[in-house]
Amino acid sequence: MKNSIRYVLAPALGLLLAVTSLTAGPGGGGKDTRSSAKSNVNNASSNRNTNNNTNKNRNTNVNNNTNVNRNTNVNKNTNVNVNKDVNVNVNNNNHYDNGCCYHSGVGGAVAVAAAATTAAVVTSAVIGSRVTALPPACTVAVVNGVTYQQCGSTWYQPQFSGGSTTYVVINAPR
Amino acid sequence: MKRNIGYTIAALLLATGLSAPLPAQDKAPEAMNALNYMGTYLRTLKDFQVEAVVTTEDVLTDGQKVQFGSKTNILAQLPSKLRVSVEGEQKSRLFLYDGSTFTLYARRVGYYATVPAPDTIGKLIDVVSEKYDIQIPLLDLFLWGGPKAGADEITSADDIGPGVVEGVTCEHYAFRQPGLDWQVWIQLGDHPLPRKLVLTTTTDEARPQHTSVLTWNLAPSYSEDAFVFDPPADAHKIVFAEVKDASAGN
Repeated sequence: MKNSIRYVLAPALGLLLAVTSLTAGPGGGGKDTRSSAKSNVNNASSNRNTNNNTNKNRNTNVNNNTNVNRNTNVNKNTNVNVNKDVNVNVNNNNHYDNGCCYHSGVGGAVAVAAAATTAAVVTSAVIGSRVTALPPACTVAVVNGVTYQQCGSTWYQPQFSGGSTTYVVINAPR
Repeated sequence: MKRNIGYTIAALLLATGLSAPLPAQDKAPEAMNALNYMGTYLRTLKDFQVEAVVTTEDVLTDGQKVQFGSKTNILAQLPSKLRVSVEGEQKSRLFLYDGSTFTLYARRVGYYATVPAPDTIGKLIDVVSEKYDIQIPLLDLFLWGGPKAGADEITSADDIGPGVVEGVTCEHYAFRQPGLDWQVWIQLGDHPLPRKLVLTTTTDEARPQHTSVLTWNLAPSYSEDAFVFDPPADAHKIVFAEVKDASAGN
């Protein structure tokens, strides 16, 4: 797992390397998916072409809030203390099931993980933000019949979003 | 007489349409008929099983293409029962529909979600697309030959010639429509089934392709339980994000 190694090393090498990794993304070059082949000739109902759900998630600039994406809350705070013993091993196969590619959700997960551990700057990951992969060491919690993932002090609600599983940061349900 | 000849030529050109730019539509009737024949036949099937060997491509930001393989298995009992399993290199999904509820199960992560569903596969395809942005794999098999088939989208249709898919003699057709070039190999004879589909997306200059090779079983044996979800002990129930949420920011 090349990507795991990269991320295990990154914290040890300190802020600069960690931030570089975040910016470049894992997967050798940080390429994201810009489009997918259409899989059907006929449109189900509307003419919506639904193939591009994963395209706009990538925070190519971690220090910048201007990305047009659903992770708009993963913001400039994330470059603080990234090296603070966050084992950013997001190639967490237990929670990876989204098709191409590892890196399409990694930026969000990493940023949230970092933010969650920098309590001095940000008290928690921003409620309502959405990632496609969880940080490591999460546990499943079922509260009132609803499934959550608790990762440290951050809670996520998994859901099917289009064909993918995504995780929305929520307030602790208990 | 010179003048008359000139007028005659002009009239001929007008009559044949050559004086104007060629119309966008150039559809070989035999190709359109074959599509129609296939669709009509598909709509006569009461139950069937199809295994599809699929390869699909994603385009990365710099235009590089990457390919993924998967196997899709469909069991359908028209009009209201459906089981579709997708085992991909990076993704596994089970779609279950029993005529009243729809369940999506992601085996590798152990999540499933269940919602009430309409009473036909056709409506199900619409509802899950509109509401949850979910495409039922190979939904074309359920739309061709029906009112939702987008035959009027087609701008070009050709009969390419004879073809063979997995040893089955077929005729090979090619179509163009906005954003998509596609080909279908239709089995010759009394069972005009699509045996192979190649879809080339033309909205991206890298033109990613999606190929499905289909193996049909028109007399499947199955239990009604096949359409009912029985959650494994370690599965966790989650929810579907509705499109108005899912598309925020898109």
